[in-house]
Amino acid sequence: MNLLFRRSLCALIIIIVCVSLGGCGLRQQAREVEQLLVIETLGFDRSAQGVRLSMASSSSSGTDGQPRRLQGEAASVTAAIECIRASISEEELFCPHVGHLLVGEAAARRGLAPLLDYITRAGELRLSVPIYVLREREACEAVLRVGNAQHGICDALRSVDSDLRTRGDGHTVSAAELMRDLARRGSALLCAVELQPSSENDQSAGADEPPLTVVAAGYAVCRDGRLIGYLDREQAIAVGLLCGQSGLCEIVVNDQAGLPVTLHLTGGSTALHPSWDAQGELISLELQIEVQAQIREDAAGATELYYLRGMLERTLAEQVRQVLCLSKQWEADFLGLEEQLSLRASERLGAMEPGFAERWASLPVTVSVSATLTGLGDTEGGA
Amino acid sequence: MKAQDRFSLNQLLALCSMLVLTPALRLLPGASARLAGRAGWLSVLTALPFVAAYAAFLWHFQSLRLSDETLPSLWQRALGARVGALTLAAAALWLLFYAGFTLRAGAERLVTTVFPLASRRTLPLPLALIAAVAGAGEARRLCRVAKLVLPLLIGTILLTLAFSLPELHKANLLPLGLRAFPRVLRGSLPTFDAAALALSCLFFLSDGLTAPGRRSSVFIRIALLGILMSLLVAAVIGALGHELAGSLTRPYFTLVRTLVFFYSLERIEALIVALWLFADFLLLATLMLIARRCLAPLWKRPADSPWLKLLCGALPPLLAVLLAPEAEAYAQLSRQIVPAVNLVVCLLMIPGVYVVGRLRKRL
Repeated sequence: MNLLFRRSLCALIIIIVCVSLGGCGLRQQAREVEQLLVIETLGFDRSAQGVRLSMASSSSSGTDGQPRRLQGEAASVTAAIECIRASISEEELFCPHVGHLLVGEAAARRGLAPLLDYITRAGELRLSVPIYVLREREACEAVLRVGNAQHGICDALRSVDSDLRTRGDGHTVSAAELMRDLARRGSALLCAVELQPSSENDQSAGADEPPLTVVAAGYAVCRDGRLIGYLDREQAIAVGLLCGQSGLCEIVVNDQAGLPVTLHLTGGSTALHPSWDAQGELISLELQIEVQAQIREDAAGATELYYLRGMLERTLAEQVRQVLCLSKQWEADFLGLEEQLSLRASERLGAMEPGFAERWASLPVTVSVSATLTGLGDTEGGA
Repeated sequence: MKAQDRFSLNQLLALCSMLVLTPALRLLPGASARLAGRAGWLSVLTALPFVAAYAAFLWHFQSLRLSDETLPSLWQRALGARVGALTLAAAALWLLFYAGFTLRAGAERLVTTVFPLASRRTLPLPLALIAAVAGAGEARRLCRVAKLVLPLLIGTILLTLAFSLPELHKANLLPLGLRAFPRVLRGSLPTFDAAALALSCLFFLSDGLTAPGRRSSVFIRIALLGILMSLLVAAVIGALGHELAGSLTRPYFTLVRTLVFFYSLERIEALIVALWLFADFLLLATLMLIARRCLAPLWKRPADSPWLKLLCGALPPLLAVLLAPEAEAYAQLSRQIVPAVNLVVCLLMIPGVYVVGRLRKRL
C-alpha cells in the first residue's frame, strides 16, 4: 500500500467520521430562503393554558408578498412556537430574524419573566430586539388585526421604531437594556404603543371598519419584571430630558390671548446637583434643565418671546415634576438617577446607608427649567 | 529534539496567542463581569503585570537548559529522574484532562450556538480525531498553522469590536472609583488563568526554538493581547451591562448575535463560532503533543512512539464523552474546578520544580 493511498484512506475516514458523528450534516436539512416563513414580529400574551404567541411575517417574506399572521397557545413560549410550527405546512417557521416583540398589557402586568428567560436561554432571538407594551389590549389583537392585505404589524412597528429614533418623546428599549435595567435599578422603561384606527383610506379592503395601526404612546414602567404603570407622551418628553435622550418633539403652549403656539424642542440636557450634609448624607437633589426650542406655529404672531419662554419653562417643569412624583410613588428609579449621580459622586453614594433606592421616595427634589428660543422659524412675524 | 522540528520565537508566540483565545473567550467576559462588575475591562489590564512576571519566571527557568537539553530533561534534572518522570506524568495527565475538557466545552459551544440537534457526546469525537492527527505530528507544523490562522481570528475580534461600538453605553463601563479596586484585582484572576496555560505551553515547547530569542518579544505580545482582550471585555460589558454579561455562559458570542453589519448582514454568530474551531484544534493538538513528550520519560519510550500517540489522542475524547453530562456539573467544572486546578498546576507545580531544583543545586 503506497503512502498516497494510505493518506487518502485516512482523509476519507476522517471526513466520513466528521460528517456522520457531528450531527450537523445529516440531521439538519438545508432549506431555501423561499421555503422559510421569516417571522419579524412576535406577540406575547398570557392565556389559561400558559402562553399565547402571535406571529407576523413582513410583506416581503413568503411567496405571495402578503404578511402572514399566526397564533398558538401552549404552556410555554417554546411549546407555543412548536404549536404554531406544526400548524403550517407549506413553509418552515423561521424566528431568528424577529425584529419586534409586542407584549400585551395583561401579560406585562403578570410578568415578563417567561419571555426574557426564553430570549436568554434559547438563543434563537437576539438580545437587541426591541420590546413594546401594547396599552390596554392583548398583543395578538395588534399582530393579527393591524394593517391590511399588503401591510401588517411589522411595517407599523418599523415605522414607530424609525420615528422614535429622532424624537424626544419616546425611545425603544431592547431586551438586553430591559434586563440590564431590571438587574441594576429594579425597574425599567419600555416603549408603549397603542392600537388606533389608521388614517389611511383603505379602499381595497372594502370593509366598514378602517384598518388599525399602532402608534407610540409614551413609556411603560416595569418594576421587578412586571408592568406597574404608564407615562404618557407628554411625560415622555420629560423622561427624554432627564435620561439624556432628548430629541425633536413638539410642545403646545398658550400665548397671552389664550391661543395655541406650537414650539419645537430641538435639544436639552439635565444637570444633577446633589446636596450633602456634614455626615455625608444626601439631603436633597436639584435638577437644572436646559432646553432649546423653535417657534413652529404662531398664527397670531404677536406673542412676546419672554412670555412664550416662561410658558415653556413652566410646562416642562410641571411635566418633569409629574414624572418624578410617579417615580417616587412607585418607588422605582426608572430614570436611572442613581447611576447619573454615581458618575459625579460614586464614593459618597456607595457609602450611604441606607442607599439611594430606600431614600428616593422621601428625598426632596427641586426642578428648574431654563429655555432658549433659538429660532423663530422662516419668518420674522406672523402670517 | 529533532533538527527539523525547530521553530522561531515569533512562530511559538503566534501559537501561544492562539492557545490563549479559547480559554480567554470561555472565561473572560463573563467571569470578569461577575468578579469586577463594570470594571471588568480594567481587570484584564490589571492582570498584565502578574502575567508578565510569570512569563519572566518561565523564561528564566527554560533558559537554564543545557545546550540541546529538552524541557522534560531539565525537569528531571531538577527533581531527579524518578520523581521528575512521575511529576511530568502528573502534568501530562492534567494537560490531557484539560484537552478533554476543551473538547467538551467546544462541543457545548457548537451545540448551543449553531447545531442544536447535534449530540454533546458524539460531537467531540470528530473534533478530537482531527486534533489527534495534528497532535501526533511536529510542533513546528502547529506553529506554522497558528501563524496563518492568528490574523484571521484577531481580525474577526477587531471587526466585531468595531461593529459593537454603536451598542456601547457609557453607564455600563463608568464610573470607576477606588472602592472598586479590590474587585478589579479579584477580576484579574480569570485573565491570569487563561494566560498561564498558554505561557506554560510556551515553556514546555521552548526547547524547540531555533534561537533563544528576545524576552521583550514575549512581553510585547502579552501587552498587545492584553489590550485586545481588555477591549473585548469592554465591548461585551459596555453593550450588555455587567449584570447581564455575568449571567450569560458565552457573552461574547451573545454580543456577536446582536450585531448588524452594514445595515444588512446579521446573525453571523455561526460563522464566528466555527472560526473558533481553529483555536480549539490548535489548543487540543498542542496539549496532546506536550502530554506525549511529558509521558515519554515514565513510559521509557521516545515521544513519537505510536502507543504514546494513541494514548494521548484517545484519552481526551474519552474524557470529553464521560465528563460532566449534567449542565450543572459542566458549569461547576468550567467556572470553578478547571480554572482552580490550572492555577495550582501553573503557580505551584512549575515554580515548585524550580525551587526544588535550586535547593538541590541542580539548576
